[in-house]
Amino acid sequence: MLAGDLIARALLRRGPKFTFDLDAPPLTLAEFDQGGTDPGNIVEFLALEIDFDIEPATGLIFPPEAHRG
Amino acid sequence: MADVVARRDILRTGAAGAGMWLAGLRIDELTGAVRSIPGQPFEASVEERPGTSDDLAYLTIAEAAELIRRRQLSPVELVDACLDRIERHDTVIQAWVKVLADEARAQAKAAADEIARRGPRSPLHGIPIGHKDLYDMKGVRTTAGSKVRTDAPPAKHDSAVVAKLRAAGAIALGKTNTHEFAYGVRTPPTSNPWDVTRIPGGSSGGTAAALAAGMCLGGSGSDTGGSIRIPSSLCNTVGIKPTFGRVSKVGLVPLAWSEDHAGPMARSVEDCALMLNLIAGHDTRDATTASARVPDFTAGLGKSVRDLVVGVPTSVFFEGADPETEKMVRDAIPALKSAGVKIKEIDMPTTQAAAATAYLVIQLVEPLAAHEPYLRQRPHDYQSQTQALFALGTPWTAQHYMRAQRIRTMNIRQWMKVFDDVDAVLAPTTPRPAPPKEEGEATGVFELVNYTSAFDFNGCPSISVPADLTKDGLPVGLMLSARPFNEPTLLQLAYAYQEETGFNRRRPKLD
Repeated sequence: MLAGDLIARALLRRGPKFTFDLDAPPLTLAEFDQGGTDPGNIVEFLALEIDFDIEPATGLIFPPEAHRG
Repeated sequence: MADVVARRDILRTGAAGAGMWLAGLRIDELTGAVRSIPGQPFEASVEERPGTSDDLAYLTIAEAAELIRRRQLSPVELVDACLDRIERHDTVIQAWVKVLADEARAQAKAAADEIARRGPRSPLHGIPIGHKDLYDMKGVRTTAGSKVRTDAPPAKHDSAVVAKLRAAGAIALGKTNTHEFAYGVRTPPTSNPWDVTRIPGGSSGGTAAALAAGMCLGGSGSDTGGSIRIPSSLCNTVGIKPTFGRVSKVGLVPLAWSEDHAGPMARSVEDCALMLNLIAGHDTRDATTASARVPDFTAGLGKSVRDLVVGVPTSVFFEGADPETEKMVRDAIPALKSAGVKIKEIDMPTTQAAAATAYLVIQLVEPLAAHEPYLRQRPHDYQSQTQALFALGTPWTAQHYMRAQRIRTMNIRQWMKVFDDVDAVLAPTTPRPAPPKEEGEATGVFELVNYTSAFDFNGCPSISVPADLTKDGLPVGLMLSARPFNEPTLLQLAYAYQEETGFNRRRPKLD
């Protein structure tokens, strides 16, 4: 499932009159998507193996080779 | 039904120029209609000044700049033409949050005087533009489309983009509507000029609608999941999301710090290039801006695209597209081929499926962190759907967030390999044309970000150009994306496609 579809489906589950409370308990991952029946994308996201030497890309600092072209 | 204005009515290039471009020859070599000389600004030659006020309002920036340079058009007339269309049509379109009519007229008069004495400062001198109401403009409240900021004080300074365009002589016509805090793709209450019962897209929907309705010649947008390109697709305009770090975000209300991009929107590729020339560059106040060299983004416009390679994804990017949209975008392939562009089918990175969720984690967590102060003070001033999006940011732990960022690193490396083989990747901008307004109330019609968000995640530059109208007369865009900092090739290809088709010249019927 693509990113937009995932947001759309998760929003649909919240309903049109949703109110948010920052101090309320957070949603669970199961609640996020499909009520725990089929977490789908989330399982795939959590299962992807990441090499130890992969650094975070926070801030999207591109490697020098990306400047080519 | 579209009211097609033939380019030959305005440009010398005409159909013959487009036909010869198909043979792989440069338009400027053939007709002299388009000039792009290294080190000199791009200019569009204009045969004669349009006769009506409405036609003035629909000039491209490049055309208007040429007429202003020749003293055949005054910025005062141009501003008046746009203000006239705002007055006639904005009660329905609602593209604008605030119109600064008196200030714009005063700026236009000052610009006219200065140009008469010394000539134009830049191609944007005297050009009326609209700024998304997410950009600070000195003395004007930035509402970000939200009740949360309706009583915010006026901005003390111009944002970097507003300041640079102002310094270049552009005239700030006002602030355009945005989806609340740019956190959505619908932009209520703005209507799509092609069908006022439909959304303009978002979050920069006000800018796109204003451009499509002939209310300004250029504008600013921002893009975190597709917010420049989606409304450009749905409103038949052009918008480029530059490389992450290309344009300063100082004074732009943040949504997701590591996915936000600032960029230009207009009615032509060359106009986006002209604006990008003025707003790109490193900013010591914005640590995310890159020190990469800023080229002349107009330099490749009109040059041959022969032997450039365009990749067509075999998965992900056409997934879920409605058949008519898919056909319209795939119809670009033979046109590009006949111009000498090589087409190559490409596999998507193996991390692309996980990247969709990783994008989402960042997209949901960073806004929750950014908005924490307001969420403590006045949570229920947010629209209900925005509150629901904040709730969707709560299940993710710090470990999940870091996992998302590391998947991003892997995904970027894989995309670099894709761009070793192709100069650009072609896809639909949106999987469908503009949805009816009522459709977004439950889901936010977030499927519109399905293709665009991949390039907010990997930070690569990406442009949307008009790709024809559906049988119901609704626009859909074609998206081209390239290696980081390779906007020049992207603009060169997009310009070639635009000049071949002329789809960007179509106007919605509003009268």
